[in-house]
Amino acid sequence: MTQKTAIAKLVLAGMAGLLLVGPTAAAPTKPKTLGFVVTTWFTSIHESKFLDECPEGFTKGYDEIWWRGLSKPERAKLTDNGLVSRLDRFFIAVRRGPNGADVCLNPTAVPDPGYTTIEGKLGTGMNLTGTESGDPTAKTCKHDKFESPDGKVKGIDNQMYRLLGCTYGFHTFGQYEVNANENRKSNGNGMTLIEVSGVDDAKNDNDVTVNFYRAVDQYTLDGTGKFVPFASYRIDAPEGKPRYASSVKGKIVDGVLTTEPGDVHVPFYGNYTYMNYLIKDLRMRLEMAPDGASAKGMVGGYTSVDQFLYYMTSIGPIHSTGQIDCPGIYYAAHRLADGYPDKDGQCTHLSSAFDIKAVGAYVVHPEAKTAGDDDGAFDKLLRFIKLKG
Amino acid sequence: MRLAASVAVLALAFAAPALADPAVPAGVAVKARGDGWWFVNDKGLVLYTYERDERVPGKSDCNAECAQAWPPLVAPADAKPVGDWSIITRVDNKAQWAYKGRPLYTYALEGGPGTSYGDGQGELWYAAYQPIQLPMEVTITRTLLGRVLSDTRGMTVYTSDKDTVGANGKPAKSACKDACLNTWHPVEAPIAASTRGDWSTVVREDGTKQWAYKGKPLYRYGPEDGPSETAGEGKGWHAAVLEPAPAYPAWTTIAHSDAGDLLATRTGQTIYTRNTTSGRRGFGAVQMCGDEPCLAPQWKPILADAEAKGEGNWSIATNKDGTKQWAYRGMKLYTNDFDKAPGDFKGIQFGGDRAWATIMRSGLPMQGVSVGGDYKRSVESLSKSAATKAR
Repeated sequence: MTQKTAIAKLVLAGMAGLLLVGPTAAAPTKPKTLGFVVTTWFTSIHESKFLDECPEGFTKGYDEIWWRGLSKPERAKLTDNGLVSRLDRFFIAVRRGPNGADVCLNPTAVPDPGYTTIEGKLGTGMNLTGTESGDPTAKTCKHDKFESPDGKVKGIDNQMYRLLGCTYGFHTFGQYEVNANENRKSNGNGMTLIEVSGVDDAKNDNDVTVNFYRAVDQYTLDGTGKFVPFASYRIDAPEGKPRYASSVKGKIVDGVLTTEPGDVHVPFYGNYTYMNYLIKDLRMRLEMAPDGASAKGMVGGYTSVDQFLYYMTSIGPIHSTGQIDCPGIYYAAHRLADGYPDKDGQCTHLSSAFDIKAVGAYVVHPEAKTAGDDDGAFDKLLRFIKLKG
Repeated sequence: MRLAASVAVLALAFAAPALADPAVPAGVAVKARGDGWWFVNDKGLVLYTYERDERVPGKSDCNAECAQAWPPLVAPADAKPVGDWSIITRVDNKAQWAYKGRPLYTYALEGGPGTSYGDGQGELWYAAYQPIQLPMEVTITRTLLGRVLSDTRGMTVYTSDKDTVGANGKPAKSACKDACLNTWHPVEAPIAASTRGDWSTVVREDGTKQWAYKGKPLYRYGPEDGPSETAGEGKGWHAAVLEPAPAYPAWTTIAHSDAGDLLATRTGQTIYTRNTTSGRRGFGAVQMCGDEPCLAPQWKPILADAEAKGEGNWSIATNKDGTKQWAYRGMKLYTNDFDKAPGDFKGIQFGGDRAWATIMRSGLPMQGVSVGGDYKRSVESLSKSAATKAR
């Protein structure tokens, strides 16, 4: 060890000693920022043990509708006597419209084939209107509300659940949502960062700001594939300006963050579809672990029917195991829409709820330094001595 | 990766004296570039290698329909191997030239001499070339800025304006010390490395050696975390570009999207190409309206002015009605009215029409069918950095 290095270490040790003793008077604390990266995002679906909410069973997929509409000889002709591959058959089935029109690209090319939706009163989600009545308001159309299975939440608005609750692909054993989450986990697209700023007390604070960003980095996973908390994620901010930057006010009570309603853009990726997903009147309830390493909760708000159908018609022909029929879901989504009426009084949005999980994260703003960038104090001191020496 | 795979070959090349134009058989010519020598046939058309040929050395995996799109470079019956050039026998018993064991092809849809429409196609086809001399610690990687020197992991290397350039026997000198070294990491050279051709070394204060190319010391940019990034470009630091990326026409711009940076018109409309090959049966198959693919009304051709001229991979097509339309790599270009904001790319809805593709900033296509898996790494990493540069 050189003499200068030894001196530097002594000085540092002295500084460390001072830090351990601490200041005699309490200095005002600087508000903190909490960060999370959303790890899973599922459409909130209530599933009873025996599917009581769907007495007629699951809705039919486009493949089944297609072949039920054919005579046996037609079916044999179109499928090489049934020898055509399953995947090829899906691509044929989606062209059941007049003159071979693709009914996912042109759902109105055929009449409404019907779509099985939720009939029960139990559901998950949030009360978005603040009332227990589904009567129309300036912002909503008449609709039926749900009550949570435990009876604690009444007046739940969740027409998205009503629409998708009897769709095989959206159940926990279906594929749509599982695929989408796995897609995000494996390729890092559609990753949402949540940043809670202005936090004086992470357990109770009645005035915080919640920001939503898109991450450009992939998830940091451990050797077993689990999400690693407190990894650094850069905001998607080409030329220094975040592409996604929605902000709402919120409060923390007993470690539970709730937000006021606000229009929020979140990135979405799944099943080969990218979306800049606008959720109107978004509100969030997030239970944050005391150590900030994890969080879970629910996001509620209104989803545009057009945007939802863009996603559904995108994946329709691919994931036939999800049993979606593009025309069926097209007509049903418009029929069930309960938010944001257009000038003709037809609602354009679906009340929705999503179950989310997150892990703690460092949200890295443009030009900001990551944890690893900082020079160590010891290196700085050595350099200072070197310069002066 | 193709370039990484050639590191061993490059190391051998470095041991050799400075290269003149590489020896080629009759019917093949070389085109000197900053990154090496590209090979062209007797008509001046670029020659390509096929990644899948790596699976069976000494044979071609491109036959039947593939060989129609990618005609093999046929060798005369009496052809003899020349240097790195050998001859393989195809399944139809015809002889085909191979370079360093890799069979060579042309691209049927090539625009002509000077274009390289096939380079990067499907991430399987690449222009065949002999790279410049390189030390073992350095290779060449494709980035948005062009082909650059990189470390063996494909991380871009840079030069600094503050360094003293070595020239005329005067050694190069690095000005990057202390805090600078936290961000910029010298590309280390073996202690026994010596000056060869364009390569020399800088002896640093701590006694280690650093590679310098054409007298300029080389560095890696610490914050970059993936190959092909060029985030360090700017503020007196420059990626060591050997061959700049081809220019984009003035009417284009870059639009940021969730899938990476896309080429767009100046008004922000994403640019699409239309493939004319059929997709899977009944799906993605292009419906033809006469000789042309049918177009839904939302698709709008990008028309060119009468005096517009193409360059490189950009060309002007003349439509039947006499109008001129821009084309990229020989494919006509369109916008889609469903795209409302810069960065939208609703024209390549996955479940929709697979026959459409956007053009990424890297020049590679993004097609509905290929937007997944490791796509973010392969393309977005090319696109997200170097935000200050147009190409």
